[in-house]
Amino acid sequence: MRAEEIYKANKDKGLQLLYIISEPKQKDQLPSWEYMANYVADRGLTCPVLRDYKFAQTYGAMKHASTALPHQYILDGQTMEIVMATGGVPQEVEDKLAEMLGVSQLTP
Amino acid sequence: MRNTIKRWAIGMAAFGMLLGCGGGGSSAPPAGPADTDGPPEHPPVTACSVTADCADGEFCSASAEAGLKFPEHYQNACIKESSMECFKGNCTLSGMCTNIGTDEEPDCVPTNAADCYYSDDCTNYDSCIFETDACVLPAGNEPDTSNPNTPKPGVCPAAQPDTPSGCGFDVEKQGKQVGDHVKNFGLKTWEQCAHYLHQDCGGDTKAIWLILSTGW
Repeated sequence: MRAEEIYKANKDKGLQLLYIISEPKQKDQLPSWEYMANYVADRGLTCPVLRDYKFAQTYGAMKHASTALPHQYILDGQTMEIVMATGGVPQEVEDKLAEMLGVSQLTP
Repeated sequence: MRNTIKRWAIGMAAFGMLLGCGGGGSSAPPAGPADTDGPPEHPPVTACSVTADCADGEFCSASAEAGLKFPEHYQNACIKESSMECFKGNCTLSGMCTNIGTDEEPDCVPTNAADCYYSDDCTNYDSCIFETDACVLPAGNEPDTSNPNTPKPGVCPAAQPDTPSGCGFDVEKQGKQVGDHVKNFGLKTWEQCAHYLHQDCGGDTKAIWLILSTGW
């Protein structure tokens, strides 16, 4: 998973990645803890992987970013300012992260 | 106090309706009068097709421009435009959008410890994860330790609910839009440990990247 690769390569440069899961394969279901654990194991995720049913807490704090999944937010790590909110996998996300981290590229 | 309880009751009823569990539905008989602590009465929501025209001031939840997946109770239904902000404002997704389908102004009620403490709905919702013993996870949501592929839950570090002193979060700038500062909120990790958004703020952290996804 590219996000995980980026996280591993840049966590020592000041990047924190939070991966938030809302529902399992079936819509309108709460992901079970077993589902969450297997999701992490299957993808080899090392970043914090959080459960937020229907993104309720997340969307209680930030505006709905997009109808395209995944929804993505970039926050300023020093202030918690919302720097970017978008959906899908636009290149702009990686460009912004690289800019904030002060690196020319996110992965080796 | 009574208003607080009434407000909570309205929110909880809307919450249940939006989740399609409890709190009544379109086929449910009207509940008691609004000045009681019981579930509020909601007028029926008119069914519609994607191409049907709803009344002025209403939109069809099945239309593309609605843009969001609606709870079962509100699928393919004419909904007051005044309620749209509640849907698009995502408090629907938090299950706390009040007054849907009524003539009252929709209102997003935040989920907080008090709501959680008094809510039976968190048995379905599991949003009240830190505050109370009253919320019990639905059956089937415990880790399956018999599954060899399931990592064993680790020992949780101490929860960090307070914004770190080195974080430049400004509550005056708190909001939901780009440019605003995000409020602190807590979730549980896959290991069932508390993780608060602000706990990573400050120090050497330059950027926090949130990816929201589903399994479907």
